[in-house]
Amino acid sequence: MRCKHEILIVLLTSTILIGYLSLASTYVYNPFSIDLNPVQPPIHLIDPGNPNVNVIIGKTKTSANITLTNNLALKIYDEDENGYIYVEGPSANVNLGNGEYYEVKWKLHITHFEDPIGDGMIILDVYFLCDLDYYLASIIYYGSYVRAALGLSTEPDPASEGQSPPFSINPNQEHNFKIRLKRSIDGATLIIEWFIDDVKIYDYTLNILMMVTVFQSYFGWLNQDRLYLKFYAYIDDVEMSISEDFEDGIDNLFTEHRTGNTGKVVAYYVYPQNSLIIFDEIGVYNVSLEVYAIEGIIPQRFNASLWLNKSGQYTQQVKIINGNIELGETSKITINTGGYLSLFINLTAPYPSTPFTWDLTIKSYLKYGVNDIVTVNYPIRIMVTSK
Amino acid sequence: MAMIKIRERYNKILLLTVLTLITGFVNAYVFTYYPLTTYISPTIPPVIFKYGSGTGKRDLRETIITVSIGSANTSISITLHPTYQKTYYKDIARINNTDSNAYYIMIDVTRPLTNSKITSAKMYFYEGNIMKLEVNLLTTGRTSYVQINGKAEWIINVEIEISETDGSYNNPPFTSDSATLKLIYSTQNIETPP
Repeated sequence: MRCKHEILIVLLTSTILIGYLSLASTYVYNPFSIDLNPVQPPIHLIDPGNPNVNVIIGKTKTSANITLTNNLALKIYDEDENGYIYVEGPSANVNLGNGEYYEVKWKLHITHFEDPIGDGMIILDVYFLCDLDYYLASIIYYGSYVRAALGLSTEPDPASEGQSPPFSINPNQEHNFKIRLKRSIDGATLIIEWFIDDVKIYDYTLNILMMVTVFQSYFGWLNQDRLYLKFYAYIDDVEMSISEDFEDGIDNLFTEHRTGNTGKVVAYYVYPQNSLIIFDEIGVYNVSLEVYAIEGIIPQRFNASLWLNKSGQYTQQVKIINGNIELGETSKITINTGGYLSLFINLTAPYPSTPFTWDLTIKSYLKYGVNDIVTVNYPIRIMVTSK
Repeated sequence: MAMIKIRERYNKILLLTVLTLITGFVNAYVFTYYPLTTYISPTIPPVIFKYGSGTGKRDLRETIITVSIGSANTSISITLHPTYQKTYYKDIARINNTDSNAYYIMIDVTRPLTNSKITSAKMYFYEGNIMKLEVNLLTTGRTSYVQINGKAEWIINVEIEISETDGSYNNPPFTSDSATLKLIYSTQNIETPP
C-alpha cells in the first residue's frame, strides 16, 4: 500500500516538472519587411512586321502570341556515311544569244551538316558548254561559309578554273543561292556571277568564240563523290525558267541518283524567319529563350529549332526532336541599351499521305537577367496552323 | 404556535451569523513573501540576417537591390524593382544560425502585399538546393516551424508576378507596395508562439 503511494507521488511530480519544462519556451521575433517599387519594362517585344508571321504583342510589350503557317519544301537527306545523293533538275537546252542570260537559284536551308574531312558539299550548280569545253559553275557549302567555284568537267577539282574566297553565312538561316550566266551584248564574253542573298560574291569571264549552250545543263545538288557527308537540307522555292514551290505535296522537277540511306521527299517546313524582335530600352541583360511545353496535335516526327539572333551572333538552339523537348533552353546572348535581338523559329515534319490540320502550341519564356541575380520571364506562345 | 415562530427566527439569526463568519474568514487574506530573483543575461542573437550575393547588385532599369540590416543583424528591410510578368530574385539576403544548436524558424506575414496587379508573390528560403520554406506574401499568416541546423545558412529568394492587364509599357505597373513579416525562432517546435 505504501509502495503504491510512493509511485503515485513520483508520477505526479514528474508530470508537473515536464509540464513546467515544456512551458519554458523561448521565442524571438525579428522584424522583416519587403518593399516593391516596380519599374516599367526595360525590354520590349515588337512585331517584326514579317508578312509570313502573325504576331500579337501584349499591351505592356511583355508577352507575345506568334502564329506561323507551315509551308512545304523539298527535303534532301543523307543519313549515313556510305551513301550519296545527286539531285538534278530538268535539262534546260538553252542557247544563250547575245545579251541573254540564264540563272538558277533556290532558297535553301541546311539544318544539319556533318563533314569530317571538310571538303564541303556542292549545293547548287549549273553545267554548260562554252565553245568546246564543258564547265561546272557551283556553290560549295562548308557549314559557316560558302565558296563560288568554276571547274572544267574534265578536271576532278570543281574549282580548277577559279574560286572565291570564303563567304561567311549564318548556317542557322535560310539563304538565297544563285548562279547567273550572262552573255555580253556583243556576244564575245560569258560572265558567270555567283550570289548569296543577292550579294555578288564572285564573277568570272570566259571569252567566247562560237557559242554558249546550257543544253546538257542540269542544275542541282552533287555529292556522289563524298560518301561520308551527312545532312538534312530543305529547298523552299526553286526559281529559274521554271518554278516549284511543292505546295501540291509533289516534287515535279527533280530526279535523283542515290545509294545508302539517302533520299528526297516533300515535307512540312516553316523556314527560319524573324518571328519576334526583342528591344532593349535600357540596361545590359543576358537573354535566352526557354521552351517548357508543347500542346495540341503534334505531327509525327515533328522537329523544331528556336534561337535568338543578334546581327550575325546566334545562340545555341532549343531542340524539339520527334515532338520531345531535347534541349529546352537556348544559350544566353547579351543585349545592350538600344540593342535588338530576333527570335528565329524553324519547324519541320514529314508530309503525310493524308494531310491533316495543324493545331500546335509551343509554350515558352523569353528570359532576361542581370548578373544571374534577377531574372524576368515574358510568356511567348507560338502557334502553328496549316496553310 | 408562538414557540415555533421563535424557533424559526432563531434559525434565521444563526444562519446569518454563520454566513457573516464565513465571509469574514474569506476576507481575512494571508500574504506570504518568498524571495525570488530574476536575472536577465542577454546573449548575442543566435539567428541573424546577412547580406546575400545579390545585395546591392543591379536591378531592372539601372536600379539597385537594396537591403538594410539593423545594427544587431536582427531586422531587415528589402527593396526590389520588379516589372510586368514574372521577376525572380536570387540570394538577396540570408538567414544565418551562428549557434551550434538547431533552432526552429517560422515566418509570420503580419501585413501582406495588397496591390491587385500582383498575381503572385512568394518568398523562398533555400539551404543549398533544398527549399526549406515557402511564404505567400499575399496573405497574412504563419508558416509551420522548420528546423535550421546549427551553423546553417539559408538564402532568401523572391518571386513576384505582376499582371499586364490595364498596364502600359511606358509606365510602372504601380508606384509601391510593401509587406511586413516577422522571423520567429524558438528552441522548440511544440507550441505555437504567442
